Amino acid sequence: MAKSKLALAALVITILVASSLFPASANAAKTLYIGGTMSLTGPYAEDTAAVLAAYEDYAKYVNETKRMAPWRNEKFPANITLEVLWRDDELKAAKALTIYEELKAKGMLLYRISGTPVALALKDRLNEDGFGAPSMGGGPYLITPPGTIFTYYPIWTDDLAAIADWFIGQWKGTRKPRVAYLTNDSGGGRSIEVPEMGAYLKKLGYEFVGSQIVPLVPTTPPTTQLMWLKENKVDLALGVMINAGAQPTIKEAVRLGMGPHLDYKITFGMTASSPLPVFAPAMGEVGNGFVVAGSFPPLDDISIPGIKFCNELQKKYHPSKWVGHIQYVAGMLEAMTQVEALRLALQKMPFEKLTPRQVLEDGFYKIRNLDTGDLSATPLTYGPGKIEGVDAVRVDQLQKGKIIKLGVWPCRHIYKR
Amino acid sequence: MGLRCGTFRENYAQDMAIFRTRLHWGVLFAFLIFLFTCPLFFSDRILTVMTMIGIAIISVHGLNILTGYCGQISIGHVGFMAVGAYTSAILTAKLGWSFWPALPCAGLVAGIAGLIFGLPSLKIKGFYLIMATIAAHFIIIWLILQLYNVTGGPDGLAVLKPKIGSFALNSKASYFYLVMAIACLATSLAINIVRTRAGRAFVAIRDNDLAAEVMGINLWSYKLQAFFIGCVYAGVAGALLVHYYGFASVDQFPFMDSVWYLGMLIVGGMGSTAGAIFGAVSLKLLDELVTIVGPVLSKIVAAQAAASLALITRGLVIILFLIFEPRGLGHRWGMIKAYFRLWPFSHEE
Amino acid sequence: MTFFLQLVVTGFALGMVYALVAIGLVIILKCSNVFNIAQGHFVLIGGYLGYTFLVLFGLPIWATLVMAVVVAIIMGLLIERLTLRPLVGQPELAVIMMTIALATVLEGLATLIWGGEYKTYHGVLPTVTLKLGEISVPPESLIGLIVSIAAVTILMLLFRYTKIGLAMRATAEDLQVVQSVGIRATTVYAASWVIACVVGVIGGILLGGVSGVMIPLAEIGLKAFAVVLLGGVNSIGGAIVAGIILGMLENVAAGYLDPLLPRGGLAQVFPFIVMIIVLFFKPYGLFGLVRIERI
Repeated sequence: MAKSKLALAALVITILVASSLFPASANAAKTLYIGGTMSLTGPYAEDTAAVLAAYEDYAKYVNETKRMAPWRNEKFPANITLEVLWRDDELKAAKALTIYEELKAKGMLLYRISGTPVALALKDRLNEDGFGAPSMGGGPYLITPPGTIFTYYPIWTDDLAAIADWFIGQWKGTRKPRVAYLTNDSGGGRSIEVPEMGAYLKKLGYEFVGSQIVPLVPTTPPTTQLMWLKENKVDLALGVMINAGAQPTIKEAVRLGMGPHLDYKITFGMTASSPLPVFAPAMGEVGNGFVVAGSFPPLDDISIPGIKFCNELQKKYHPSKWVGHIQYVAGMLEAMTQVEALRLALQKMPFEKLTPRQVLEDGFYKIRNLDTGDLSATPLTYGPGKIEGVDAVRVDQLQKGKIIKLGVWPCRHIYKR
Repeated sequence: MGLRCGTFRENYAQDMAIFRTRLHWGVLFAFLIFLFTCPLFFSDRILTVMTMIGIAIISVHGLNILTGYCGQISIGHVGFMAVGAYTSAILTAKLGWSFWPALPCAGLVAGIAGLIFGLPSLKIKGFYLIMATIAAHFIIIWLILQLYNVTGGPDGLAVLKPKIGSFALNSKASYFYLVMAIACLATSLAINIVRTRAGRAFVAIRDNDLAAEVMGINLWSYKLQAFFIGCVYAGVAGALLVHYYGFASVDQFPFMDSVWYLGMLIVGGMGSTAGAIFGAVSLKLLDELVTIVGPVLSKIVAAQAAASLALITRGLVIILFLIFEPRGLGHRWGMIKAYFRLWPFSHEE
Repeated sequence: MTFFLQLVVTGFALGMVYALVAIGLVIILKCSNVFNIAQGHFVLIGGYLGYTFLVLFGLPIWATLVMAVVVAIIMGLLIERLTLRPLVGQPELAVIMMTIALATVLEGLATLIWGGEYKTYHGVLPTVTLKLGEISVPPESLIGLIVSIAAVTILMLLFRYTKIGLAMRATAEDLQVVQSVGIRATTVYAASWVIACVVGVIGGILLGGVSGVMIPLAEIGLKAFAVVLLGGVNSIGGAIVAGIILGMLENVAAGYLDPLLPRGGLAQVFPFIVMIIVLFFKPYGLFGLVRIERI
């Protein structure tokens, strides 16, 4: 008998689960949702936790003050409150799909993308339903139509193009500089291997040597790959790596005597996916000469109004739980973009009639020169066919354990479809 | 097979019938009517979940024939799904085929891939075979990345939605019908495959392959048949999956999904067609539960802690389930049916 | 030539780590015939434990190892008692499923406790850079070698001279006979899980010192499967030799063949290609016993 009771209990639980699938009853009056799918567990757990914290802080700020930012005069409509809605997708395509449908049913008017697998699973669906979405991942696949996913930093090929621009500008050798990819083994990491990237490097006067692939999170130093670069006399290695890959790689390179200031002269240039503000404190002087493009300003540089704003929000809303991860800035930019899109759309259409497509067309596509307090390299501008918000790429280098801004290069938009 | 008291099988046709009594037929029709009217009263969200469950059921049926009936454990099922998915994606997107001939081709090519990686199964079994199938997964994914001229490599391939005439199956409801129709077909095929000569041979091989060989069962041929059939199912499921996403990329076929497909089979109960369905439904619903629990918990603890607690909950539910029901839901289902058949005079076994 | 030798030396270092992870798998397979999918997750927990004790508590390396082993023993006992003991006598696949669930729980716990963050302890482990002519020997490989040899020696002694070790070998041979002579099989199972946890955690601490700790570190368990297969499922010595062979082969093949392939990445898949080839020609591994079956 006991077992039958157990089975009955299981049945009840199943019914409860099934019933929770039904959308919740009518939305509370005048609430707009921001946020979207988050990868709070899995490989991007750390980054995403910081992003979510920024979303929540910014929503609280707008709800309390009805302002968009201290340096802006526009006001968010007073009768509407913002609420952050999120679900954990574990960075899995299958989960992202059902989460998207759930949040859509809950009345979300915009979305966010948490990484490459999720972007590839959702991009056509977002276009079909007319959803605009800022994205944390920035592979060139975002450029191919439909183009309803937006980045607030240059996509990875443009990051690398900026590094190539900088490097050739200071090249003093007599021969053509030799360049190779040193990139991670994931959809995002390999997305730079497009013909346009190679053509651009050739046009600048580089000799392209080949690619070396490092695991996303290497379990052993990538000595083989580095030795290959040395064997082939590579001067510049470009690629996409997350910090967990970049740190052991550079550490090993230094041990092998490879670096801009070491016996074997080579420069490593990576995309914004291995942000220097995380890399620098962990590596210190060992990381000297490491170049990153498209990065955000570090969280302790309070001369920048955006960073000051971030710090104030953190102090105000969770003084005991300081989020030191640089992706807090990414989250802040995402939240600012989402709220700005909602604000612009609300000017055209009353709250009751708002649809996702209007938020996309009258919101995201109408964002012009959104001042982010210098959190992004330039103010953000979006439009149909223009999904990279910025027009310039900030390039930083680690020198003597400190982050030094090398300058800003124009965004080349080299990947076209 | 338990039937109500007083139901006798008096001739061969009756003995072979799957649906023996009027009640059986009634329940079947009621279920089918319910299933195919779902889009009328369910939201897009539930239809999406059900569509994903339908695809998982097709895939798990294949794994059930291979692992549950023939005893050849495979943890590379998602690799074969990827083969089917990319076959269909390439045929439709690159060669301009229609979806309808591409779907059986996807199954066929995945089946052939299954034959290739099933070859070692003649010499090895158990743990070694698990390894061979794991290897199959990684080699397949690597090959897909290598053949980037055809597959798009890491960029993936945009895939069109299937069309009937000029009507594209764009809406959630239309795709739901497609998947459910194929899932029903797959289920009925699965029930019947295991009742054929081959199906009985599979069971004999699973229970003791040496004994089966001595009895005159050609191990080589039947093991490969099991691999072929299992992977055809996987290929069809994979093709349905990418056409639903509208995009094919290797990220959609992570290794851990193979492990979870095997999990569905174990939770449902090996070697039972009903078990495969129970397993797919229950684990997918558990996934949904985990997604919903996270944000609810975040009202008490920090968001990330909440999400990881939800993940732990999923593990714990499965652990508890295995401790109390190691033979799977299919087994319990049979017990419950037996209980009610004999009610009120039933007794615990 | 330098290039080749460098590849070999680095491959050796890699192989030692593979071997250490594979030993845990082999012990559980030998004693309780369970295919432990969560072995890579023990490594993950080990890495985070290393971070906790070395960086957060500032303990020296020996104390860290002792503390981590203590935690691993408790973890192993709890896992065996709470999740695997109830499944004794149940179908083998239910047990595999249990290890899948275990992997989920461990991953969730790691995210809960350490926030899923990328943690490093560069420079905390003693580093010695050795140079043999042009070739530089990674210091991690030396530490890996020493720890692996120590672990294997201890295990060999355990299996040869202690009562529990002999009981474990006997259980691997025939469970029914063992039970009929009064050896407690449950004690043997508990011991095998404890050893697997300890070995995995030590491997994790070493790996963490090399490249830091993050959730995907658990994927090392998959490579260890290939090592186990090459070495033969019931041979600990085989696992070590196979680990080294595989590590070197993988590196050399990737070093020479990768540039020839359009998209490279051979190192990731190479162990599996070797695995399939071995399965065709030597299905029971290099050092495994050929099982003679009777009806």
